[in-house]
Amino acid sequence: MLKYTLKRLLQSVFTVLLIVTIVFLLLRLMPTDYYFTEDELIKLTDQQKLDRLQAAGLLDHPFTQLGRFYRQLFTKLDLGTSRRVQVNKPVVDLIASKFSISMRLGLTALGISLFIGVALGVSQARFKNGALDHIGTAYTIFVNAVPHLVSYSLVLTFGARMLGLPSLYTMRKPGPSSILPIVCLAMGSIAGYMLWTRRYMVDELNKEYIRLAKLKGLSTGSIMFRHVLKNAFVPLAQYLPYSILLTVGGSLLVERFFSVPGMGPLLTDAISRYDTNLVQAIVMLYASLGIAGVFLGDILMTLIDPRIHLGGKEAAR
Amino acid sequence: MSGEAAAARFDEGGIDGRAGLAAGQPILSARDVDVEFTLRGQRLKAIRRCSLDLYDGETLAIVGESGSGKSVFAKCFLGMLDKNGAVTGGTIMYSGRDLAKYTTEREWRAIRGKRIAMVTQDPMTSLNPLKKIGEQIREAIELHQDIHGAKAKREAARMLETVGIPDPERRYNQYPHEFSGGMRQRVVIAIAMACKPQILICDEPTTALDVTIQAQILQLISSLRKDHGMTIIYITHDLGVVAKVADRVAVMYAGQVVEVGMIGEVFFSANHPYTWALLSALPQLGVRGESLPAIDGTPPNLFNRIVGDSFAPRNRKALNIDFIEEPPMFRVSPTHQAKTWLLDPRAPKLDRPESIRHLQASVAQPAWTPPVPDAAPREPLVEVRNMQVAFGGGRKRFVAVHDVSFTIYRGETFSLVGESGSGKTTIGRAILRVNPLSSGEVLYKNRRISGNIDKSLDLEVIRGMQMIFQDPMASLNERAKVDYIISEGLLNHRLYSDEADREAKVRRALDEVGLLPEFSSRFPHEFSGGQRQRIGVARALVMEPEFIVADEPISALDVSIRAQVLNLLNDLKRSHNLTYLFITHDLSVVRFISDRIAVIHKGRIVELADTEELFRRPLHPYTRALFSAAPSPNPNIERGKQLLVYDPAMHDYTTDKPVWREIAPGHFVYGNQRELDRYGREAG
Amino acid sequence: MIGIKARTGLSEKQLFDFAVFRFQDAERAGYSEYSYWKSVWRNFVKKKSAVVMLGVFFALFIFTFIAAVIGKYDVRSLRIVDSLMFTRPGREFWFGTDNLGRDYWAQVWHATRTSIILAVSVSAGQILLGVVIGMVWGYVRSLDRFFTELYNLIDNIPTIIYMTLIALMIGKSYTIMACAIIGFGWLATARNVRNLVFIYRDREYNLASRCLGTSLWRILTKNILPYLISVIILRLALAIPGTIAYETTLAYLGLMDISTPSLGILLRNARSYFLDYPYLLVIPASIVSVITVTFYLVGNAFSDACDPRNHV
Repeated sequence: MLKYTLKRLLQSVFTVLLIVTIVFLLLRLMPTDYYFTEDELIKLTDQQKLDRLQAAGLLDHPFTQLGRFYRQLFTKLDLGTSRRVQVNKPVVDLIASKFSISMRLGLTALGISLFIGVALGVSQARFKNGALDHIGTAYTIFVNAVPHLVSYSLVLTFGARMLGLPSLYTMRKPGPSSILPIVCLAMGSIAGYMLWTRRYMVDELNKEYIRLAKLKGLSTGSIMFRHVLKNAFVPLAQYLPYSILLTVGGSLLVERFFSVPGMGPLLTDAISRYDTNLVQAIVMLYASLGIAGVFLGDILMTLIDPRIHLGGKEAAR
Repeated sequence: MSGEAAAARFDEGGIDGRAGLAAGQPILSARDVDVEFTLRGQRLKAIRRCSLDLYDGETLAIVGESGSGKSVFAKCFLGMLDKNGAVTGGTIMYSGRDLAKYTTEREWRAIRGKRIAMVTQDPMTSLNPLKKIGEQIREAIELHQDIHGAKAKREAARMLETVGIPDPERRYNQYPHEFSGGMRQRVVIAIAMACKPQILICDEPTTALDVTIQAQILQLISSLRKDHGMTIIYITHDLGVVAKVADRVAVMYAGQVVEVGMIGEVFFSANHPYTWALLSALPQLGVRGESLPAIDGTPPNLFNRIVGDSFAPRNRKALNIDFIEEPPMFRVSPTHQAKTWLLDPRAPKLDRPESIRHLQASVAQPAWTPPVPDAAPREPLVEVRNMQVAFGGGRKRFVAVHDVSFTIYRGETFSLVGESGSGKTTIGRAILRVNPLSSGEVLYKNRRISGNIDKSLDLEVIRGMQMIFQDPMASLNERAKVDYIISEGLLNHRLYSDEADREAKVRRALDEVGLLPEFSSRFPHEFSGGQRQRIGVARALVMEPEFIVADEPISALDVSIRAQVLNLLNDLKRSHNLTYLFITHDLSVVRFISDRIAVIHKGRIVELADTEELFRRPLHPYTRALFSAAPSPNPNIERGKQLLVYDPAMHDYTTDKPVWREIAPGHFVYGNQRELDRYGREAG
Repeated sequence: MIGIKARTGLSEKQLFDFAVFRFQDAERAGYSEYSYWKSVWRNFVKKKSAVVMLGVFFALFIFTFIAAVIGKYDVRSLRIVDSLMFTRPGREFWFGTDNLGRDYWAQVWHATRTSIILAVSVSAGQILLGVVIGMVWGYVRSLDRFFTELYNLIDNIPTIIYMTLIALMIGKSYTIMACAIIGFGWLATARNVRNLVFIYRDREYNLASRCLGTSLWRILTKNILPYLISVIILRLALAIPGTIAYETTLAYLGLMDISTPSLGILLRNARSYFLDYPYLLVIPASIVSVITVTFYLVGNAFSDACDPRNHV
């Protein structure tokens, strides 16, 4: 178990570094014009531009730059400073100042949607083909099919017009102005949890062991709660740690839409402004979170499903 | 000797069912039950005016092929029909109530488990994978016995012990995946028993299990019945199993009980032509080298309206009236009834087929004479030398076949017998180069064909060696026409001169396997299991092979179809001068079909000999255990038989290493020096 | 008994005589008339909502051509006229004008056509690439490791990075972005197809083909592909709303060329004004929703219809 964890940890570190390296090199393919603001592009002479780039070390061979980056990272644990998004602020501090907002919104939305989504999914499966089931299905179709931009606009119109909620996020009133972003975040994942809970429940209900439970004389209600619910929740649980960790990353679209100063739009902003240090740091964060999420999910599975052992053979279902 | 006399002997033998029968009142009585299903917009009559009585304390076996409705019929007693099915007529009287009128889950819960419990077919899927074994039993106890908490837990552990699971306290806390198939079925039985039912329905409880495990489960069910005074309905397609467990037998065909009687009456003095056909088609009763009396055709399609006697189209001795009017149940004796016009006083007298009369004699096989050694030396066709096959690598490496060697001679049928997971299929596939060898080699006509070989030899091997598969449903490409399926090999290597030649070859192959030429433009789903298996044979045959690996070719087929395919294989062997490697777990077939038999256990061949030699003098303890577990269709033999259990721990190979040795001419055994000496003495 | 005799004209003696055995009748007894695709089709047309929506979609697509003809303004000759900005829908401008005073009718229908063509071709490209790679990935054991690692590598980097980089480095034109979406969109399909091929790969009929020496290409096209058709259609149907939604997101993030209007661009433009001029949002949003919901419904209906468990 320990050996397996260590092995997997090493593998993950390798994967993260590989990803960062690839992104690092890709960024160096970009034209350096994006390093400057539009004003600077017009005002500065070519020589001045070159000098600036030279000073930032961006004209060296990409591999030299890469070596410098890793030397700094491994010796000083330093990811550098932001160049354009917030000038000369260390990227770690920059990220630290932003992720808490994203995470607060994300975790609230996740909690709400897990509760509502699973509860609705269970009742859909329990009363299959009933009115609630049909309404739930219509809702999942709407949320999944209609582009988010459209549904967010609807939420915004409704929230701002009818309920008078702030249409943009402001630091002065974080409470009320968080409501619409949270609703938008939760709207999608409620549909997801509903859909999958229902599907897994229905799958389990068709299994042979349910027939045996029925043959024992158990009532439908106790079959649902003693047998089906737990088994149906197992595949959902696998992705739970992943979803929790990813709240750190925020949502690009929602945060852009409501001007939330969170993590979501940071990555694209950083790329389009050629803020290489920031991009590398964010990519490293995302990759680590993703890999850690999958790993934690696997560990969670070994706790709730006795058939699964880390590193060992998976027993046949 | 008459069949009635044999039956009489049985009744005096103290079969319990008779007592209940004499007392007169059935505990469950189904009358004229109809069950209909709606399938793809069509109505299907699964059960047609079917009647059956169940008496206290008896074991009633319901025998039939798939689609005969045996399982559906029993499920009506529990309200467990699938959603698209319903009881549409008749009555099922049980303790003063009519179960046919039950509609709500609430009503059924008073019956399910509490009064009637059921053991289902597949133990691998019928337990909740995420719940402890003990908890699953405890659930039933708390529900039905009014015992709770720690006491219920103790009771559940006791139940585990009752069904023969050692170390119950530890096992209580384990999960289903830590149990083998046989053990899981014991747990399912424990759950059924924990409900303390009056009637236990066993729906093919051993079909998914190996023969040796099957024998143990059957023994368990019998002993539980004796100890707890239960009434058992045992549903099966296997007449050997029936012979072992049943007091009374009901034979079902196309949704009806066609014959019912005490076990002796049905086995020794059957009256319905279907029962005759079923019994005489058993390979156990066949004589090697002769055709089995097979049943023609396929069971009827229940979507169609059935007129007259449903078996008539397949009955070579059907009467004209059989096609017009459904026969009533004729009473042969107070306990024996059959639904056939042959029992009408106006019908012509028809003798029972000869092979059924054989059954009464204790020895099914006729006298055996030692084979005369062939003058001509036998020509080796396929040689396997020190074959080892392993899957996976590193820690997950699993050796499926250990150091196996044997030679298959031209013109013989060489059988490989073993249980699931023994590696028999792997050997067959390794010979055909589907699975690669880890070490050792395979020779075909004295040339090495394993590993890398050149292209011309490759083509020769593809043409010369073909395979017939187990599952006719899975072995044909559903989305291709029969024409393509059969000519696939021809197309791959352009083994035809022009399109007309290819079509002619396909037609000839179809004809050889007894199918009509117009079938070539159809899709596989239009055919029944037996017909599909024939298509599979034609696909191999069109390559004009010399050697065919037949991997369990009949085990997925209905009882009435098996004999057809066995006969076909034997006929083709003669007409095409074929050599077979016949892979099977079914001992009832090997004696009929094979010239030589190799017994394989856990990837190792433990014994190899000529068929009759092996059956007369099995030496290895595993071979003996296997033979003792194989059910015979003769109740007289089956009841007196002693079950031998093989435990590999009996061998002590720590110092004295085992070897593969020819102990008598042509008779090889695997064992260490001490064992071989003992085998040698036993072999004489 | 008398009834039978009258009915059949046979005497009692004849009735109890042996009948002639007909081999073909015995063989014919057990036919099943089940046909997979027939059942799929029957189940599909039962889903009225999907069928109706599909009809609406085709009508919509045809109308994009008609609309261009009957409209008063041509999309290519629209001009920025400050005095006309935010004109509400009326006699002159059927759908009103946008923030720059351009006719919205011409833009909307042109955008609809652009979006549909983009979505359909991108989805088809994605699925085609995904199916081909997925089949090879699934069937050829020795390539499994390679493709799995490749998949993980690409999948671990947020796609938005690639999209941003491509948009900034190569360009934002429709062709480039379409190729970029295809280039990263095949992954999910390939993985799905690979997992399915795993199921079919070791089926006995494939072993039979291997024993007959069938080539890899023939096995893939004859033995594997026909079993994937239902999944391919399902994924194609679901990829279309997916692509449209993705396109709106990319447009919203400014990664799409704004000179050719697509529904995504219109929605992006509407973001700043729709609280005051709701028609700017409502019109393109309803059209987008009709398209995406149609394909979502069709895909799900088809997938249900393909499930053999529903063929009862």
